[in-house]
Amino acid sequence: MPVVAVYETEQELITYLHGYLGADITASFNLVDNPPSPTYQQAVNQALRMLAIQTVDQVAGSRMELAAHIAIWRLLRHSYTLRFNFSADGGSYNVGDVWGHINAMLAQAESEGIAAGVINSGQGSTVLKTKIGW
Amino acid sequence: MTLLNIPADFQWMRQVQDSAMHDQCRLVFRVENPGPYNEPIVSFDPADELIICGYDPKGGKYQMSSTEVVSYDSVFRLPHGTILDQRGGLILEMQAGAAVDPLSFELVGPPDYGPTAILVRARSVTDGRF
Repeated sequence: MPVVAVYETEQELITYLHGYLGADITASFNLVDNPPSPTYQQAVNQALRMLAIQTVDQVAGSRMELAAHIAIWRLLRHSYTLRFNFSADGGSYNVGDVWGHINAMLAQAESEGIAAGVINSGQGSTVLKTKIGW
Repeated sequence: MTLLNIPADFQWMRQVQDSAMHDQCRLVFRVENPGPYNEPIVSFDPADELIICGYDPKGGKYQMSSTEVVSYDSVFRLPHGTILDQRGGLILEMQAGAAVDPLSFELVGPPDYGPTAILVRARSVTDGRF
């Protein structure tokens, strides 16, 4: 994937996010690239809000990407909030492992975002600030 | 442990359960047609499509009536909503994504309709019915 200096359209950023998450994750969360799923559009909107800008071409592509990483992992965490481990019908499923992975990825994204000045340290999640795990 | 008990929970729990069914089988339906003397002729009709299932080769015994106890040699998980023919059976054709020599099973006892899947006890069919 070529480095993007500046994203011209939101669809370009959505396509990038789709590739960033990878096929396994996008399939697990039922995220589709075209037409854009509501989740991607929400991530773009939240990233714009995070950077206090109106359109994606107002900042460098790298900053836009970092903000979008944080936004997408926050949204995926939100969608997994009410999941729990369960055993039923001959199977035992540790759905909480996915919750752990999401939080780890969010902590990493926020850490990179703080280092690059996309968000300040006060805006990081509790997981990142206290490192208590989950 | 269940925190909530609402339809939305069952929906994602069934999706998780389905995603852990790594085998595929073909349902078999029992068909009865009148013969030349109007006597019932029984045959077995395998479905056209393979469906996902979870094959667990773990046997046991099932008490069919007050005196009859039947051994079964495996338990299958099937997706919630699967329509079975209790007098038919199923043919296991894929295991963990790889084609295997088909194994035929008849069903033992009624299916258990759990919250996330249907569990059926099954035993091998060796008389060549299907």
